[in-house]
Amino acid sequence: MNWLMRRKKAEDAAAGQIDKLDELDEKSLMEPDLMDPALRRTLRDFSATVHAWSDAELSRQRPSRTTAARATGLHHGGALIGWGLAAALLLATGGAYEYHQRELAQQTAARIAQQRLAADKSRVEERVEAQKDEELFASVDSAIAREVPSAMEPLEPLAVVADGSEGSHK
Amino acid sequence: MAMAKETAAQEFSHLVASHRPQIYRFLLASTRDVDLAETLTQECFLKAHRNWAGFRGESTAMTWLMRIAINLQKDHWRNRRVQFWRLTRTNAVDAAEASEWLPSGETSQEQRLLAQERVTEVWHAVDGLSERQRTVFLLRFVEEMELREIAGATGLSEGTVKAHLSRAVMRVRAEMGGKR
Repeated sequence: MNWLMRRKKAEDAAAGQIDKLDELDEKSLMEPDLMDPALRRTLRDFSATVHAWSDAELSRQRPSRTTAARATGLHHGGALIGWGLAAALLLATGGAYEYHQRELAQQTAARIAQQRLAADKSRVEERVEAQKDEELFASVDSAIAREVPSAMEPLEPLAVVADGSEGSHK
Repeated sequence: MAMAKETAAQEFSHLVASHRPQIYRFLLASTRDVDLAETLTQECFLKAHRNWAGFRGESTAMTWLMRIAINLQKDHWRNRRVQFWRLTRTNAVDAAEASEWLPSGETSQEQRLLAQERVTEVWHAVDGLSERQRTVFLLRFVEEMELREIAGATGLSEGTVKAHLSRAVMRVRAEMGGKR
């Protein structure tokens, strides 16, 4: 009989402790500051992880969703119609996805325009360089082609004098 | 008439823009599957769009949308034909990989690794929770919703929410304690 009473007491005490724990838990659920610091920090990190992951996925472009579509397609008969409507809805509401698409298209267009500009610029530079080369070659050519006095030219007057003296001598 | 329709469309557009991140985040945390979360988010807003005219504002729009999202993921998992996918979790990211998204604070590398390990433990604990416990836990500690709001979104009483939350936290604590 005694052991029965002792056991009941022990059970009551254990239940009381559990109640106390539950009470503490309940408070800490509403007021995270009451949680033990390690658990609080871990739950904060957990939340930060989910937020970071979700933000990254939302800003990432995902063109193919085949497996998920297959999985839900099995579940919902009108999934194809649903996808179409969802796409139309997103387009109509100017959702974030469309915004990213537009932004990407703008960025691509800007990049292509920049590349074109750079190509044009380099073409003009090449042309200017080529022109400079041509001018240089032309000036060199003209310098080389300039008329040079014949080798005997300086001696010509002497030859005339020699001829005259030869005549008078005769 | 056309004017009213246009206004409703604008209101709904605003609703999508402002609540999509939160709905997606909850579904991502619940499924750990990027594509599935995306699909369910789209379905959630599609369903909301169909029923938008019937929304009377008895709860906040967020609570209403969250309720749709919770029901959608519940329906998804309960479907027998997707049980195989549930078991294999082919698309779901594993706990350790999901924990790598922990933002880098000003802590040392060692502290960061330790924190990642703890977050992995929480993911493992979340895996072991019942569907309701998991939902309530994520709404409280990721979405930081009040118990009253959680009760509204899940359709449970506040007392039941408290009980589920308490058990979920105990499970997380046990997972953390067991690995120490």
